[in-house]
Amino acid sequence: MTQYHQDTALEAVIQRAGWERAVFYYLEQDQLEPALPFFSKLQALGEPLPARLVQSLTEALFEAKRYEEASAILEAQIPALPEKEQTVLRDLLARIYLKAGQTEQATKIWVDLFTTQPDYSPAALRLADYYAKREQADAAASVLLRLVQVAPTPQNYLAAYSRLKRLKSKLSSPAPNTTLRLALIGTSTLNDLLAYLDLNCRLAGLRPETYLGGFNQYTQEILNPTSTLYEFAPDLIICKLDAVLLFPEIETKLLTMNGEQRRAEAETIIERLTGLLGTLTNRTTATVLINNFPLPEYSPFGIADTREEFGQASFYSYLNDKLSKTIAQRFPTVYLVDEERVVSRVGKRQATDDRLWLMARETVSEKLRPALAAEYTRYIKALKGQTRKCLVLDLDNTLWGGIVGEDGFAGLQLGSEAPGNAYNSFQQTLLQFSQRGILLAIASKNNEADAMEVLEKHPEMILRPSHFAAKRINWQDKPTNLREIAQELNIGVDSLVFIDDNPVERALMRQMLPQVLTVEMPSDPALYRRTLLELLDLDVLALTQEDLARQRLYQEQVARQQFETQHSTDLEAFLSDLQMTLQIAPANDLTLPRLAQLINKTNQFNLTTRRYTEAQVREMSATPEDFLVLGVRVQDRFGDNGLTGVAIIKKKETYWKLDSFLLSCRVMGRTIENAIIGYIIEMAQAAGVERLIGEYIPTAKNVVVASLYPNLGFSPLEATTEKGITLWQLLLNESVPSVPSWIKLVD
Amino acid sequence: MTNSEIRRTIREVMAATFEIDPDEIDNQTRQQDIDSWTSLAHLRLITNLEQALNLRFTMKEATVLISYAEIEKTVLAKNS
Repeated sequence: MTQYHQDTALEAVIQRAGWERAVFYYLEQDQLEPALPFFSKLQALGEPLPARLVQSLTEALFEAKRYEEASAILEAQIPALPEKEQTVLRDLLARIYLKAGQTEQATKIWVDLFTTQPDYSPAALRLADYYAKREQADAAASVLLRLVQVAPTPQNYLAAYSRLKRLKSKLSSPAPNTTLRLALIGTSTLNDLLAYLDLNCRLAGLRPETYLGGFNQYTQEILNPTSTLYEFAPDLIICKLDAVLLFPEIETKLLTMNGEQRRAEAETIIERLTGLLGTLTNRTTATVLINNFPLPEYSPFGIADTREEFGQASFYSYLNDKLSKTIAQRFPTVYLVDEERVVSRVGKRQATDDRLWLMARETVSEKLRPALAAEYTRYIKALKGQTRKCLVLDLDNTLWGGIVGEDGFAGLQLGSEAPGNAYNSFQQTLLQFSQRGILLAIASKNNEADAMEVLEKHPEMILRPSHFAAKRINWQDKPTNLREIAQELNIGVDSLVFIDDNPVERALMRQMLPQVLTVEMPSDPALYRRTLLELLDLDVLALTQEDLARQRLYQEQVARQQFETQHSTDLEAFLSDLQMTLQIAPANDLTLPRLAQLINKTNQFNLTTRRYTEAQVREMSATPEDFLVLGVRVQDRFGDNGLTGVAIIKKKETYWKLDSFLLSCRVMGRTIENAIIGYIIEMAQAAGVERLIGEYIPTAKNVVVASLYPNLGFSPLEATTEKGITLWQLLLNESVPSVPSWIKLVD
Repeated sequence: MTNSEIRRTIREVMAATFEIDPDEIDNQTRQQDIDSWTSLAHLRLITNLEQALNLRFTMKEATVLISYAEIEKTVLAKNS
């Protein structure tokens, strides 16, 4: 390049920079008119202009209501910009179109932005508002939920919540068993926490109706029998208490007391809470969540706290411990949420916001809010039977580092040293889940022999073949493998969690089997363990014997299935050889938690899918003149299947009606239902009842029992109702089915 | 950020927080003019402004930011 050319190029650059400065200068002075000629000169150069310059000028034009000029500039400039910088300008263009009455073009841009960048909240919110205005409430709601899911910021939560509140009455009616009447009461300002709870419920497919208690009104709301809380008739009451409002002077008080008095003070607080819980649980069958009290960041005794007799730390741990024991012993419908743990998880410094507390009496900081709402959501999911039952795992780079087919047995990363120890710590956590009743399974693309060699022989493996209830190690696609695993374990595909390091496999799974929970795994295996622990879908409200023994139960099941294959020709011989014994007994304190768990978890062999809380079942079993609640325990030659069946019978003078009838999928296909019905018939005949009524309410999952009653000899009672509900009756003076000869009933 | 960008951001944050059109906000807008500017919404406004403008208000400032003019004055003073 010659000197002359260089000079000209430099001059052009300087001139261009000067024009840009001029545009910004005039805009800053709020003078649009003198800025325009400089912008035109820049445009005439025919080169792409900086996004910020285009934005400033077109926004000024927009504010001056000069829509045509603004949209012409944007239409010309946007395509030349890098994709990342287009977003804001395209949103601006859509807003201009909307003001200019070009609704269709505006919507097209927002739909497009929302599809490609669902986390860009301005476009998502405007699209939702547009749908809402057009009376497309469901479409608006699904945009808002997607936004919160991909970009869970406080701003998005609150913006989505206030819009959903307005849309609520216009949404299509909820599917059965998705409703939840949730009351949030407590000591502090809880509006924002309620927004999170409401949205978390909706993200879980529920349709909550919510009630928000007044600020620090919880005592009146509980004590007044006609309070709006009781009028609301909640299914779930979350009572959020704060030490700072419940016993505000405690720090000063502790300083003036001796050890004995401090203990007495703790007892007084417990008594007060116990009294309130007693009243609350007497007046409602709702499940109640109440929290314990996080130890404050600092002690009034300073560092001498641990030297004090019953210092602040002892005071809080005594209080929390006593509260947890009292609730476990006396209040079966109340659960203690471990807020101390949640707050520690977030970090105490982060969990409180002094300004928020002083200005609004809000005790939950913006950082604590999502964590606390997530903890409550774990309870809500467990309560609504949304617990997932099985973790399906990939092998290469998921359970161990490396690819066995390429790196070989000896080349795998696994053991006590970094980076391989990340996989060990992940396996250790998986083992914990397995021990508490979550099933493990494998879906891996591998040569089975290679993978099995690692599973059986690698010295550093923690999980062994016996830990897995099902294995699919082959080259077929993973959605097919997961369908097969669900079938083999006799659980729904929607009970599966899919864990795979490969984003392509995850995308395929989400597309093919959206019912499966596909976990977004981090790229760093060091974070696998945490990702698993942070899932909200693997909880039960209380661990039962069945949960703790589930792994053994499934191993017995494998033996049973092999036995079944050997007996594949003669069903009756197979059933007799199983040597089944059934223990059918009315519910009692020991069996109630498990029966309630079955009622809320069972989907397939479930004639009516009515969900009842433990408190409701308890109430029914306590009124034997109206109800008969039966639990069924199944044993066979391979072991004890545990409590696996429930029947709830509504008693009337001339007939008994089967309100609920369900069996765990583990014991399906073994004529146990015949034995249970046979047993009920005997009891009904002894009570002088004439008829037994059965009911079938179809759901997406219980088609397997659609013709159970006709198969048992019941005859149709009424024509099918609108929702496909059928009623069946059996006259007890005619010949009725009896307990099959191959099943023995024991007391 | 230039001053005009700051003014625009304030208006947009206010509009988004109170769920109204940015056109409804001008130099004269005060808390009593906007129904949705409740005490709870006020706190959200403060945090939303802090986030969008990358600054922090003291509690005293937060309690007096009850008009567009006050907000603009305080933010521009912090920014200079």
